[in-house]
Amino acid sequence: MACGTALALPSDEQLLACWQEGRREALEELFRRYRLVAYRVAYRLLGNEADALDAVQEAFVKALTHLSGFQGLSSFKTWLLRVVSNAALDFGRQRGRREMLSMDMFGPAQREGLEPLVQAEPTRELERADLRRLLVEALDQLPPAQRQTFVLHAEAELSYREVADVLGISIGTVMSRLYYARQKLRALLESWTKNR
Amino acid sequence: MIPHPTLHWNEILAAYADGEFEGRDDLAILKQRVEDWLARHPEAVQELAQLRQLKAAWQESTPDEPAPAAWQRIVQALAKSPNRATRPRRPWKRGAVVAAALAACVVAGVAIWSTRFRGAVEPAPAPVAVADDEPLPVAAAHEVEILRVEGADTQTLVVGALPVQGPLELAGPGEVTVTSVQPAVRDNMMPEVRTQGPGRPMIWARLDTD
Repeated sequence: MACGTALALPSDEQLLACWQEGRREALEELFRRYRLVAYRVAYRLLGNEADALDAVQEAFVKALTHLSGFQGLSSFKTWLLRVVSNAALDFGRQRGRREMLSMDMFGPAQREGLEPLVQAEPTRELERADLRRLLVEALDQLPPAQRQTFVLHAEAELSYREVADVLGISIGTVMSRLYYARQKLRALLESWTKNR
Repeated sequence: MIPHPTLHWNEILAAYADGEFEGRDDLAILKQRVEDWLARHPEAVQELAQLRQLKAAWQESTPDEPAPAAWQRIVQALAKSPNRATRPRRPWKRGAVVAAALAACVVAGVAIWSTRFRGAVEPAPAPVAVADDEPLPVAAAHEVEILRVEGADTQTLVVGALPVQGPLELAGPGEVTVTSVQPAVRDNMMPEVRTQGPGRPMIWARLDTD
């Protein structure tokens, strides 16, 4: 697909074509479109902001330097999320997730002096952080394949079909993995919901 | 979404809760069945509520967006990464490829000549003996994910692809003759035997019988 000159709302494919012609602003637009969902997927799989950002950066570099692997059979978004989730799982394996979880006890804002965009009421924010940490710990107890399937569905809001395409598995396997992931998460969250 | 033949009811209920049936005419009947089931089974309604509670907890704990400075750092790093698609062409590359191909041909020619005319062929290495009862590892434990084991499968756990996909036809039409039909002991009913069409007699063979 050729790179247009000044498109009001270029498609992902047009942006990729523009980037391949050397237009850096196309890369920035692609990044702007998918950075947040990519970050949230990585965060859920890694449990802290710094590593999630590293995983996102690595995934974008990988995706853009291996565009030949993107054959257009799925959307760029779903293909990118596959790269992101694989990169995040690799990070988790390399660095040891237990250590990362302890790093996140103080929340993202305290670590690098970066203030989050939305500063909620302190008590509420603590409760949310507590829940988030609990979910990360619960996810950590799932096998990587179940964790990846659940996060792609729940966080990236991919349909069962999209998750199946992204991971190269059947829809039945997606449903089974989601079922077992939910069973485990529910059991682990039960105490938390009772104490609310 | 296409329902899987071995799905649990809970998995279908989860798909309903996830909105997988919405806007799908081909799944309208399944959706209606789920809703009928929910109307008759309060425990299923409770299960649905728990699924939605988990979804709400998940959404409530959505990670905050990082600061703009964090994004900017990544954009700068991406800008430094090479764009392979726009990498300049290397005119010397084609010549190098041709030279490498020629070199490979020369090496292959010398190898063939030495094999045919010198006659000094080294004997092939003897195969390594493998004991009959030695296990052959085909996959590591972490590479296998068992999602469910149930029913008769508990006696014969198969890891990997099944040897036969789909129905295995043991006999075709005209190859089976029904000579006698006995009434069932349980209810004394005579089975209806069809000899034509898709309902023709079937033979089921147990793999563990002699």
